[in-house]
Amino acid sequence: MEFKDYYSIMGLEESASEAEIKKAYRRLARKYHPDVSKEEDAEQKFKELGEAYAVLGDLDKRAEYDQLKKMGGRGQAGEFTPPPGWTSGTHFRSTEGMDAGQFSDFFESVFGRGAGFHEGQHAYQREYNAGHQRGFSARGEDVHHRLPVYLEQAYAGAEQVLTLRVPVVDEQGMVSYRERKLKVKIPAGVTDGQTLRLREQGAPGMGGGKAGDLLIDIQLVPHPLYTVTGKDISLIAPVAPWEAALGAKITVPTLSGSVRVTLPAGSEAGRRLRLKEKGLPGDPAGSLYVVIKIVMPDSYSEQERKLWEELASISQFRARAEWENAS
Amino acid sequence: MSDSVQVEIVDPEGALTLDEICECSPLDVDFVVSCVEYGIAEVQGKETVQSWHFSFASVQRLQKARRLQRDLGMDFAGLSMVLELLDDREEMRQRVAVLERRLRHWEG
Repeated sequence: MEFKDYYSIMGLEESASEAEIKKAYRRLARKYHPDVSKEEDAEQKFKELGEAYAVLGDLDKRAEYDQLKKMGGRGQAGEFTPPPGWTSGTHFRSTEGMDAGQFSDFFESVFGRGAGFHEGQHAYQREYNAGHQRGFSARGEDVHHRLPVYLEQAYAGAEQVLTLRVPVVDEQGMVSYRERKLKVKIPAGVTDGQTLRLREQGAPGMGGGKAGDLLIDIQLVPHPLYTVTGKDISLIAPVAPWEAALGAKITVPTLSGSVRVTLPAGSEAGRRLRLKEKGLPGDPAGSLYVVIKIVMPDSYSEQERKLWEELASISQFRARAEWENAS
Repeated sequence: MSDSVQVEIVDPEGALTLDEICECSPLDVDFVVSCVEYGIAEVQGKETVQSWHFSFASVQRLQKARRLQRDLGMDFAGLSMVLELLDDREEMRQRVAVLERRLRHWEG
């Protein structure tokens, strides 16, 4: 079992005062709160912080922990083993169906299961847990799951097997977790940020209460070609200068296959051509916007260069007319 | 083996009553009433508390407010400001992400 260095988790010296511990907790809780932080592992860090504070923020537990840290045997791989016969003086036996599943094995081996749910400890775990035990017949909580979806899947719809970690409550009210696979049909036309509801697939209810819902938050994976806003899709179409000047029929890749699009003569760079109902499906369906980008060849043949020179010599076009007026 | 279940798209405007939202999440009536008073959540149907309805998006917001209050010990004035700033930040992040991708396509 890995020894948890609660001081380093909280960025503190072992000599830190109670006030310093509280202050560090508040500062880091703000930083890593899953509703505020955008860091990938914010939730994990927030839980670790809660665990660290459950120990260091409690005078008795901290004293025990400090003692253990000094005398705890370490195996060859630097692993932690509590000294033989170790029993926690602050050990807290749960008889109320509390779940310490949110805390590490290290914490549980030292302080016992459920020890994290004393008054005044990390509220996150406490209430997470309390949600499972409130009332005698209560509906289970809704559970959120974030699902990355490719644009192609959002367009055509898809079937995906989700692996979820779901809480299970036994007859004694103890909560444990098991893995569950769930086949989900993603409807065609889902958009970024949309939520899918799977009724009664969330946390189990208590005392005969219904299970909560599973809410799947759709997150569209960025696409190499297209950008997406709601149901509308944009695509940049590179065109040759003479195509922009003279007009052309260009072949545009859409999510439903290629289509021929007429590029009007005299198209400026940045001009947007709208292809109705070629965006994400729905009522109404989104559009596909083709944005014109004029690109130059890497090199010219002698003949091409002459033609450009000829154009330059006869053209009356003043590209910077606005500047002439300004000066 | 995997289970197959019915999927529905959540209507963000779909309305839930106060009782319904308190039943399925760690929210209580006093908390919700205060949130409404501070403009943290929008309410539909204004006559009596019993007739209040909340959109799905509002419920998400209420739950977020509850977690922030619980974990960071914020008061309602602070919550309403933080949630507004978080919304602004999220909107800007998304705009920046779309614009950056467009720019990359444009320059690429």
